[in-house]
Amino acid sequence: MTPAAGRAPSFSQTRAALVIAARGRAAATSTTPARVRVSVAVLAGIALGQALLPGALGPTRSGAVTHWGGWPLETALVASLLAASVSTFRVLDLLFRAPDARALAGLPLHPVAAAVDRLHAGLREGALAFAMAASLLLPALRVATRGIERGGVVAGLALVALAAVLVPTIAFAGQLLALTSTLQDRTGRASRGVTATPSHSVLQLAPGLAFAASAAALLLAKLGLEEPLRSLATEAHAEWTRAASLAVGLPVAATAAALVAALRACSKRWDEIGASVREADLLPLASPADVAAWPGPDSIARRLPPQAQPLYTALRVQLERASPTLTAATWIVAGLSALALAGGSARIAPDAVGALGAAWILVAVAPLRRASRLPGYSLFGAAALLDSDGAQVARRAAAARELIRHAAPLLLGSLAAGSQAGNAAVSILAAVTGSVVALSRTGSERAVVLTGAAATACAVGVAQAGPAVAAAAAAGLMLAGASALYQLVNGREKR
Amino acid sequence: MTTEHPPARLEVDSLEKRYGTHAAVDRLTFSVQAGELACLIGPNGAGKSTTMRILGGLQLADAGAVRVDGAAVPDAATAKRLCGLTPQELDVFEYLSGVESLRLVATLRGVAGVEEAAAAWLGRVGLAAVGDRLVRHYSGGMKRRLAVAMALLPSPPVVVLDESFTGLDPESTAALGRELRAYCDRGGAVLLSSHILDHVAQIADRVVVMRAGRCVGDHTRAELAALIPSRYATLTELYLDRTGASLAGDA
Repeated sequence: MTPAAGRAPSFSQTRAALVIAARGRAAATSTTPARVRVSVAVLAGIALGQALLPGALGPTRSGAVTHWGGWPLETALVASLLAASVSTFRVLDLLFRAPDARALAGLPLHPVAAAVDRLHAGLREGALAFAMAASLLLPALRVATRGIERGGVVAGLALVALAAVLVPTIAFAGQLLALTSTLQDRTGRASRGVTATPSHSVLQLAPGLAFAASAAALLLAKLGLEEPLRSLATEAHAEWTRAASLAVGLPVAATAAALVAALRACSKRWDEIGASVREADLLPLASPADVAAWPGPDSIARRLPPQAQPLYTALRVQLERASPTLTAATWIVAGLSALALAGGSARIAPDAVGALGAAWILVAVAPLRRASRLPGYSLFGAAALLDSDGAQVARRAAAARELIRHAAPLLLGSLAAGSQAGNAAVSILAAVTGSVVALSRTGSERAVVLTGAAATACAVGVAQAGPAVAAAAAAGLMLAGASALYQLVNGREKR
Repeated sequence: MTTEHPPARLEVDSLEKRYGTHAAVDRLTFSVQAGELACLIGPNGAGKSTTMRILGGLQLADAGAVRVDGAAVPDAATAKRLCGLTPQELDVFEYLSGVESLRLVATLRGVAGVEEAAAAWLGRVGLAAVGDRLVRHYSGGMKRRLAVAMALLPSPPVVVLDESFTGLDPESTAALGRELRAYCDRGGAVLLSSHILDHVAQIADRVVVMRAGRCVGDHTRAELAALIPSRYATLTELYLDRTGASLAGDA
C-alpha cells in the first residue's frame, strides 16, 4: 500500500460518518448513571415543591383569567430568554472548541456537512436547555387542564419550541458571519491568499449580539402568538391573522436567511474560520506580559485555613484575569435592569429582575469553571500541597467571592424593582436562588442536588409572599437541573 | 546532461506566521523526501507546533508555500487531505470507542475496507484488547497511540506528529517506531517533533533544528554521522550549539 492523497469527501459521506459519531456519543452518554440521578433528583424536587406548596401550582394571579397569552406566554418568554442567555454563549464552544469539534478539525470534511453537524450539536444542547425552561410552564399546564388560560399555555409552549430552534440557529449563524467578517486578504494573492485576522472583540461581542437578536426575534414571535388570542375576548376560537403570520414569520425568515448566508460562508471558508478561532485562542501566548504583581491575602483569604490560602488566591487571580470587564458589566446590567423595570411594568418587575439576576449569574460564573479547570489547579492537588478538604474550602471561597461580586449588584437591582412593585421578597428569593445554584456549579453533582432541596426549602420559607413563589422555586429547580446538565455535557470538573 | 530529481514529498518554503508582532515562524525552509522520517527539534516556543498545525491545515500561514510532491498546497482543505496530523493537544473522540474512532477516520478519508483497516490498526498500536472501550477511559499513552493510528490509517502522503512519543512506555515507543518506519518504507514522509533527543537520534533520517521560528540546522542521517561523534559528542550537543541554549542555565 503506497501513500495516497485521498479525495475530498462528499456532503453525504461526511454527514453519514458524523451521524454515526453522534449516535455513538448519544449511546455512550444516555445511560450515564449520573445523568439519571440528577434527572430523578430534579423531578423529586419538583414533586416535593408540589407536596409542600399544593396551592402554588396555580395561576400566579388568582382569579385573573387574562386574554392574548396572559401570564403563561409571559412566563414562556422569560424562560426562553433565560435559556437563550446560556445557549447563545455556548455555540462558539460547540462550533470549534468542544472536544469533538477539535477532534474533527484535522480531518478532511465537507465544509457544509461539518457546519451542519455543529449546528445539530447546538440544537441538541439547546433542546435540553429549553426543555428545562419549559418546566416553568408546569403550573400553567396544571391549570390549563381546568380550562384556564389554555390558549396562553399552547402559545407559551409554541414559543419555547420556536425558541429552541431559533436561538441556537441565530447564535450559530451570527457567530459564523461575525467570524467571516474578520477574515481578510493580506497577501492579495489568490493562489494561497486569504489569511485570518482573528479578533478577540468579535469573539466576545458575537454571543452578546446573538443574544440580542434572539431576544428581538422572540419578542416579535410572542407578539405574533398573542395576536390570535385577542379574538378569544369576543369569540370562542382563536383566529390566526395576517399580522400574526407576519410577526412569527419575520423572525423565522430572517433566521433562515442568516442560516443560508452562514452556510454559504462555510462552504467557502469553513477551514479559515476555524483557523481564525484557533489562532485567536493562541494569541494571548504571544501578547506581551501585562500581569500585575501577585496580590496579598484579601479579607476572605485571611479567614481561610493557612493551607487553603494560596489556592484561593490563585483562583481569585485567574478569575480576575480571565474576565477583566465582568464586574463592570455586572453593574451595568444591574443598573439598566433596575432603571428599566422599576420604571416600567410593576406587574412583571419582581419575577423578571430575579430571573434576569439568576440568568446573569449562571452565565457570569462560567469563568470560574474555566479557571478551576486550568492545569495549575489539578497540579496543586496532585502535588499533595492541599488535602481535598483544603482544596474544597479554597474553591468554595473563591466561588463565594465571585457571587458576592456579581450577585450583590443584581440583588440591589432586584430589591429596587421589587420594592417599586411592592413584592421585594420574591425578587430577592429568585436572585438568591440563582446565586446558590451558581455556587453549586463550582462543586459536585451532590451539591446540585442539595441546591434543588435548598431552593424548595427557600420557597417554603417565604410562602407567605404569594403564589409567585412557586415560579421562583421552579426557576431555582430549573437552573439546578440546567446546571447539572451543563456540568455533565461539559465533563465533570477534576478535583 | 542533467539528472532531474523527483520533487521532495514535503517542501516548506519560506513559511511565515506572525501573532501580532511576534514571529512564530520566520521564513522557515526545509524539505522531507519520500521514505524519510524527519524530526523537528527546538526549544519550547521555537515554532514547531505552529509549523505543524499549518502543515495539517489547522492554521493558515501569512506567507510562504507548502508543496507536496511538487504541487502547492493551496488551502487548508487540501492540507487536511494530504496530511495526517496528530496535534500535541491529543484531540480525540472521547465518547467513541477506539475502533469507532478508527472507523470514522477511515470512512471520512475514503479508505477501502473500513472494518478490516480499523481492526488491523488497533492491533498494530496495541489497542486490540481495549478497542471496544470508550476513548475517555484510555490512559494518556493509549490515546496517543490511537491518535497516531488515526493519522497513519489512511496512509496520506505526509504524516505530521507533534510530540506523539511523549509519555509512551518503551514497548509502545518501539512499536510505534516500527509502524512509522514501515510507513516510510512504503513511500510516506513523516515529520515528527520531539524533545527526546536520544530517541530522535535513533529513528531520524533527517533532523531539522528550529529556533525562534527559523531553521538553524538541517541534517540528513549521513551528515549527522559525519558530525557525531567527531565534532559533537551527542545530538544534544549539536542541538545546544545550534539553538544557543545551555543545560547549565543562566547562573
